Amino acid sequence: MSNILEIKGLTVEYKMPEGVIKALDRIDLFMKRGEVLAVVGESGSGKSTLAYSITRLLPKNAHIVEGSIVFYTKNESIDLIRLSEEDIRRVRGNRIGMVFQDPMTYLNPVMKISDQIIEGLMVHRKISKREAEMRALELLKKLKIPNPEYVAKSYPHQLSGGMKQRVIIAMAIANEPDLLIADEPTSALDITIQAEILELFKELQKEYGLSIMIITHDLGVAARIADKIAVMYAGRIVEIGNIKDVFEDPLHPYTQGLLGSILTIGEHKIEKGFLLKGSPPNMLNLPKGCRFHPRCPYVIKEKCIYEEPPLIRVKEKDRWVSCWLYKGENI
Amino acid sequence: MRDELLRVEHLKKYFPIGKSFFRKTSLYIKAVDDVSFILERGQILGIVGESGSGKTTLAKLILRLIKPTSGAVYFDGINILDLSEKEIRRLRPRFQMIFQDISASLNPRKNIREILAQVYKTHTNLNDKEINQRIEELLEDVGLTPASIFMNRYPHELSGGQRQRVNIARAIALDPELIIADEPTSALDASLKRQIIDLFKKIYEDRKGRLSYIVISHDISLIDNITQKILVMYSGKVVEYGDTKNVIRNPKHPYTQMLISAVPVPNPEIEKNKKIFVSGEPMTLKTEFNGCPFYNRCLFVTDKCKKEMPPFIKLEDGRYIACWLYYDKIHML
Repeated sequence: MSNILEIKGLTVEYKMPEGVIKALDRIDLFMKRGEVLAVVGESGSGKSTLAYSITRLLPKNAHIVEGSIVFYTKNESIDLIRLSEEDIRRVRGNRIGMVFQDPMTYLNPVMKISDQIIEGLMVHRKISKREAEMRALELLKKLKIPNPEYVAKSYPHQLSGGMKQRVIIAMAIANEPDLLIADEPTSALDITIQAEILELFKELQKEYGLSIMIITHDLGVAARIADKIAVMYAGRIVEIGNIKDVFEDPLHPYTQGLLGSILTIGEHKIEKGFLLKGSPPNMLNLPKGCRFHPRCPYVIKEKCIYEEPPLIRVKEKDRWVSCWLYKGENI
Repeated sequence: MRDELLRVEHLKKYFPIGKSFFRKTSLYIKAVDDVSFILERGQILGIVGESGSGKTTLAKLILRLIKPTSGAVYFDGINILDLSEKEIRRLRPRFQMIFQDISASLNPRKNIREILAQVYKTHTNLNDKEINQRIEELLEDVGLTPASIFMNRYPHELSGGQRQRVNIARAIALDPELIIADEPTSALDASLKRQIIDLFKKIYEDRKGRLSYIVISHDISLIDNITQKILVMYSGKVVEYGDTKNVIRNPKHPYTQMLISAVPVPNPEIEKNKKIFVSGEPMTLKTEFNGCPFYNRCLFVTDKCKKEMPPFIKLEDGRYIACWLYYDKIHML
């Protein structure tokens, strides 16, 4: 399968009162068409910044220092970073759909649901209001919203959290995008509602062959929905691989620690798992060398504390990893 | 003999939601509806439920932070609902609360020494030197070492995990018999969460038999890892109660079954082959409704479920359950 997204050397900085934070530091990430990729990491790892960079919705105090984000539609390739504000608006909400954690960042509180979906449709397509109305209703039905006619006429505050998130997904897929970016789409929801939304993602993925990038802190959610996983730590990608491979045989010590530290129900044993000690580094004062070295049980003194490991490809494992313990090819 | 620390009897909390035009009487939401359970000394009880299940309201009722509509809460044989404010204050050191919002409970203008000293000054007659020594021991107990450094730090200088350690230090300062923790780890990342849970376990082990916990959470993995008994709440009612491992490995109530199946586990092999049956959303319970609150989402619903709440019955394995499926099975034999 061909790539739908190619991120190379992406570096994003935030200007904070205390100084400049490199939220993303030379990120390389590829995504194949029709694939579900989970980007996991703890708070501050940069996973949300990644989502905001792709959709070009970074806050004002952030800026993209370098790198490229090439997005392939069916007939062209676009570097999203180099698009003008006007051009990115033509891609966003059209070729790239978005779902965020808090539905209210995206829903207009004083506008009826149907009008919000219709607006999203009519901006990007030459269709009549009547056609858009029909399509809006069809979308609500597709997302298994009970009583769609009633919901269409409702305002956001009249709906539950789960329903609002369904409406958001309806809006995100309204124009049949190639890529869906979902940033913690179920983190604010109850477990049973989360399960329904995740099932919905799976169905949409199958039906439209949609490519989905899901940002999550929950490795269980990643295990349920993703084909591939990218693990982030302190602004860097530490490991990328097929979801089953990474969970069965994590290579990077951070991935091993993360898998060994999470609580779960039932029996669950990760062979190389261990309990992570300490906490992620202060982004204003990153450790030299590998950012994970102060917490790493396998630290190689003469190497890890001086030199930052590049992301390399470990061929025999079909994996990308940034750790001096492994040998492989550079990008 | 069983040593009962806490006994909750038919506890109810109804919140008024305004008057109906035709009936002129108030309508109520049943936030907590007829909850009863016993916590033995030295036991860890988990209360699970999703938003609106009434679990936090239940905690507030037990701590008497809000007044119940009816029912009783016996702490070590004393009905705390009968006590005056003054008498309650005297009892306070014996039961403590740890909240979800880690930072809100720490005064930002006071350093850690002052925050912890406050507890001793209010409830003991210790002098400053003794208090300092206690604080040092406390900080070491919760893993904030070297204590001499952390004492002089302010809450904003600490990470989320460290702040929660201060909250725990404060909760155990007076050697309480009961700690109620409401979502104690939900604001923390995976690696910190695990560290805090291990700390809860260590504190419990160190005080073997003298300390009990009630852990309230929507996080089943937390409840599974730390508690011995589990109380599953749904729309203000207890639907299942029993040994934690037993209930989570082998849930009986249709809601518990739905809940457990919905929990994502970090194992792609299991997750990719899992059949998940979830549907609908919880309804808000109003006073005129007397059926089972889960009926609109239940796969096994019958007409009876819509009309009448099933009684709480004991099954052979010792668990309690409120569901007509099991009631009818037992009573047909």
